[in-house]
Amino acid sequence: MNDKKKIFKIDKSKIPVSITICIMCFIIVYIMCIQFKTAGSIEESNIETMRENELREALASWKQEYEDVNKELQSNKNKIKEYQDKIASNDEAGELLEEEYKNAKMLLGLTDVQGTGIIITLTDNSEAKFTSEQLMDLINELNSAGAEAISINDQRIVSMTDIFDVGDFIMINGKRLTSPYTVKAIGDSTYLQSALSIKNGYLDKYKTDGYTISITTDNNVYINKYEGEMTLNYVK
Amino acid sequence: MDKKQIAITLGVMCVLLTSGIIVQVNTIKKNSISNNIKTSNNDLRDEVLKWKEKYEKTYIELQESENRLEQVRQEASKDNNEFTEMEQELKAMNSLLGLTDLTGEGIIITVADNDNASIKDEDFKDELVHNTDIIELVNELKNTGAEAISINGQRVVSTTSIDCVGAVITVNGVKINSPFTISAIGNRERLNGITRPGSYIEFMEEDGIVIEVKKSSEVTIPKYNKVMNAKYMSIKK
Repeated sequence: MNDKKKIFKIDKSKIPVSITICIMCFIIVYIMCIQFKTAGSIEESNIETMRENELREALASWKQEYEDVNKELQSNKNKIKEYQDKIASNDEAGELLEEEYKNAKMLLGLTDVQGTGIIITLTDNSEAKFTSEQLMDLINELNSAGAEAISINDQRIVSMTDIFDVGDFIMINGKRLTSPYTVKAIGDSTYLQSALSIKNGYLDKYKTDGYTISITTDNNVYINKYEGEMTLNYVK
Repeated sequence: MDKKQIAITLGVMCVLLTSGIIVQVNTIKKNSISNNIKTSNNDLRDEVLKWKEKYEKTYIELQESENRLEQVRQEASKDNNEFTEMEQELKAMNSLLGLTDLTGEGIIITVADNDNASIKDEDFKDELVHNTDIIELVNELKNTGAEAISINGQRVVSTTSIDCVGAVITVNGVKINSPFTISAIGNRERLNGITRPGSYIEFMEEDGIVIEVKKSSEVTIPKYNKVMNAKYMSIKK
């Protein structure tokens, strides 16, 4: 113990020098830290390195996102005001509440809906049989193109829907389906159709493999509601 | 402290400082390359930043308005049993839609590209995670009873698409990178069935993809961070 202490014993005349060096080191390290942070944040925002066409794309997408969010915000503000007015005047808030309730139910897939959209018919032939893989791919493509509601042979695709091959059938929502598969989707019908028909798109990909697919647009597509139950049993 | 010790200490410090400065200079060099491109599109860039900021500000306002809406809705329906019930149901539906953060038991799957994957490999493509792999896993999770799913923090809702844009995977239009963390709430023992023999996970592992599945008593899944509304569909008349 005593030996150790001796090693670290400092000559008092050197203390000022040591302190000066110490302070200088601190300052330098501090400045470097600031530097590192600045450099880091520059690298982080990739907007700085985007090219012109990427920038235009980003601009359009942020504008759209802003408009969506702003519209929802205004709608919420109106609803808040309406509820507040009802509270103030002791009126019943039933009408607005019911409207919100119905809207949520519709978005969940628990009501029959209608709207513009497309109908795709997939038929098995001797060369190519549809499996769950092609149906999942199609649902994903339709969602990517902004579909708001989808059904396959009247089975509504909801957030909990799973798709599986079981023998010669395709199981959706636990129901057995067979060819032909009628896929209905509500959304911007022109956009939905072109998204599937573009070069190397869904149609291209499977038609060249021999699958039979046909698409029609429709101004009034009817889609059935989900018949199963939706509950959250494992959520705290 | 003798002079030798001081000299060594100072020496070590100098080396550290110098290497720090070298790293700095290199970083700045890299940045100045992008600065050249930057100056040519400055106006456009400012515009993008402006709209992004506008979006972010409005999104925060939207969050606040949602909380406020829930308050006044509850307040306005508290005196009528029928309305209270409807209000409760609406709340439950919003959770089902993915509009609220959720916590519960479940599993967390981590899927990563094989670090040793090289373009020279014959099966190079199999060693990377594709959007179709994630679609399959999400489908299997739904089959084993998942009640809520997120992928790298992006909530999977009924309209979610998992796309491949060039070499990047997007979920809800947001770019995500390997490693992919897929979280699911549900009965964790049932969900763990996703690792059964002959499962898609086993198939991916054989291809050299790195997968880890962890059961957890507390999985947190964030809410969907986009607006959910119907522009084209309406209730059937």
